[in-house]
Amino acid sequence: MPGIPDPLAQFFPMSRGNAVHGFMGSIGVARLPTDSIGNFTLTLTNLVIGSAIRIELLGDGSLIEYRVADAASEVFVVPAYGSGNPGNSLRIKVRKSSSAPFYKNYETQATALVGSQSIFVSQIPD
Amino acid sequence: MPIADDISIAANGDIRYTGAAHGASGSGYYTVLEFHRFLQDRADDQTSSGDDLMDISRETPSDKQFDTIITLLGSYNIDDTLAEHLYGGSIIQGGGNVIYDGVAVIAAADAFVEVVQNGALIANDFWNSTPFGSANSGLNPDPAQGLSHRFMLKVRTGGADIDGRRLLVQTREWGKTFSEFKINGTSRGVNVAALNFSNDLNNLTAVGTVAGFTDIVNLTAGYNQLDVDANSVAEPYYSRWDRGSRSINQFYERMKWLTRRGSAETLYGLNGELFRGITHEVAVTTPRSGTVAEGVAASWTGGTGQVLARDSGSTATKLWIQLLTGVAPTAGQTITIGAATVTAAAGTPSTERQVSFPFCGVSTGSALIGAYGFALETADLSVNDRLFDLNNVQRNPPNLVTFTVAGLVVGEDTVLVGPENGSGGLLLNQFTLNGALSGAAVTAVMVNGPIPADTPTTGTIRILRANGAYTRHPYSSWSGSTFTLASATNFSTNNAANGANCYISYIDKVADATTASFQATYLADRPLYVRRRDGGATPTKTFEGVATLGSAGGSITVQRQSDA
Repeated sequence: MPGIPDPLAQFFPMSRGNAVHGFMGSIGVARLPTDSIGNFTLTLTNLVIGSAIRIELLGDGSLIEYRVADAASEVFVVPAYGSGNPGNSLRIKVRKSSSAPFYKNYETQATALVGSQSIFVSQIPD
Repeated sequence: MPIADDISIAANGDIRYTGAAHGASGSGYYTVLEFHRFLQDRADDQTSSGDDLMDISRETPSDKQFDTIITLLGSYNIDDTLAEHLYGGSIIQGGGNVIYDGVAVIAAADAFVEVVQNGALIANDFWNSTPFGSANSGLNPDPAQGLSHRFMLKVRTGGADIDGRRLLVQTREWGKTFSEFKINGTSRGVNVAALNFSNDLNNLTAVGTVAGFTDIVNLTAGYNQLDVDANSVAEPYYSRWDRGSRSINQFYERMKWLTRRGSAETLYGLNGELFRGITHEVAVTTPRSGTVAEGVAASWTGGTGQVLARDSGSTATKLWIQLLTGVAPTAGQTITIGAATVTAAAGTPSTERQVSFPFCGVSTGSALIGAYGFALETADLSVNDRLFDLNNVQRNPPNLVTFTVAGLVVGEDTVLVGPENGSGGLLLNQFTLNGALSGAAVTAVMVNGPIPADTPTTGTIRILRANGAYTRHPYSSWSGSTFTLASATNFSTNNAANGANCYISYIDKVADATTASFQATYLADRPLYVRRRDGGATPTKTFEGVATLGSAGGSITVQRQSDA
């Protein structure tokens, strides 16, 4: 359990939660699944400038981030969760269909992890 | 009107038209590509707005394979109303279960276009609407490209093609040329139908006038045999029309009237507007049962049709049908016609026949170039008409010409018209008898050699008798080398010897009118000798002259010189 020292005693209550660090001891509390364990740095490359980008949860489609690309590469920092957490399953939508040149909708998926990943976006003219 | 103002997108994927109706101000029409662009324009918005529930959070609504082929994805769909406002391609939706295909009509502006689908006219002919502010009917015209209409039609629904996606595009406007274009299964994108829509210079009579041509009737609506070319061998046809007192062109106009747009007439069991004439000749064989009727529906696996003619009711070997839906019968298929059945023959039983527009054929103004199998009664035909029998052989009616003697005095003059001998005299030996005539009741006169084909069907002949006289004998018919006399004649006394002279007296009577005439089939110029005599109360000198029966007939006016 990182960040929790081991002085004299450790206490793990029945409930899970954030770690609490106190004098002469610490109480380690496991993180909730909804707590991120770090950041996932996602870089989308080869973007057509002007494309609308939406990163959402695969499970329920809830929005994580929306952005219009102003460069060929866009970097997104999103939270990463423990392994198996559905919050790590991402859908990435890239669309440029409001003005010419038009491109077919691009859609892919990614799994967030603590670290970084680059995705090459291949947008096909529409 | 911007497309966004005319279309709504619901959360369940229903995409609907919300704009003005056809013909109203602001009614919107968009290509399928514009429609796709609109959806995609909304699809990359961050959030939806108005009645278009579409943004980047929603599933991709559409996909473009080509500019003319748009597929609606997932649950996205249009209805028939919105389809009426889209053109220039196809819309595929429901995973391919529903397809609207594009149609572009090449025709002159203002053409009125009908579409037959699955054997029936599409009642909602929205494509003929007149756009607001336009002088001509027809949606989405493109005169620069010669297009009068552009629209979409549903050709597949519920996962099944509607009659194999077949469409028959036609125009049948009064005063205009009739035309049709068959699309044997639409393809994705734009399907072109080319129609001839121009003034018909042989169709200038007011429609209301032609409606009164009720003396034109079809005497035999079905298989019948006529000797159109007068070669003594009858040919098969599927009609025998009587044009009554009307000219051949008026007859042609009546045929158009029967099958014009809006017709309430029935031909061979079909509404006139759907009647096209024979499309297929089908050879049939055993097993068969029942009696095959004409003017009734027929069906087989993969198609339906209307029987216009059959060569026999109980032992039919040929059917002539108008195909209504599907494809023509194939070998071995059972064809059901009411309570009767026949079997399509082996090999290739169905022969496609060319249809004409209108169904009767083409009018030259003074003659008819008939459609396949179409016929009038022979008395209503003239030499310039051309018919095609059910064997698809062209038949030319004979040239019936009339020779007239004018200037006669009724009850006074006796007229004789006979063959000319080449020297200005009467050819007495046009024939010689083949066998003596000596019976007490002779009804047949046989001559040596064939009787010329230009001999009138009825008339009189003169026969040299034993006493040197040429006696007059009416005949009721002739065939080969034999005249059949109109009544039994006694030759037992003053008989006629074998080899005795005989000739046709084309006119041989006392004048009962100021003119006398006979009709014959023209084959070649025939020189005639004409004699008129009047030895009555006011006698005149004998008139003798020669004339010619030519391709346009002939005439002569007798002279009168007193012989008082």
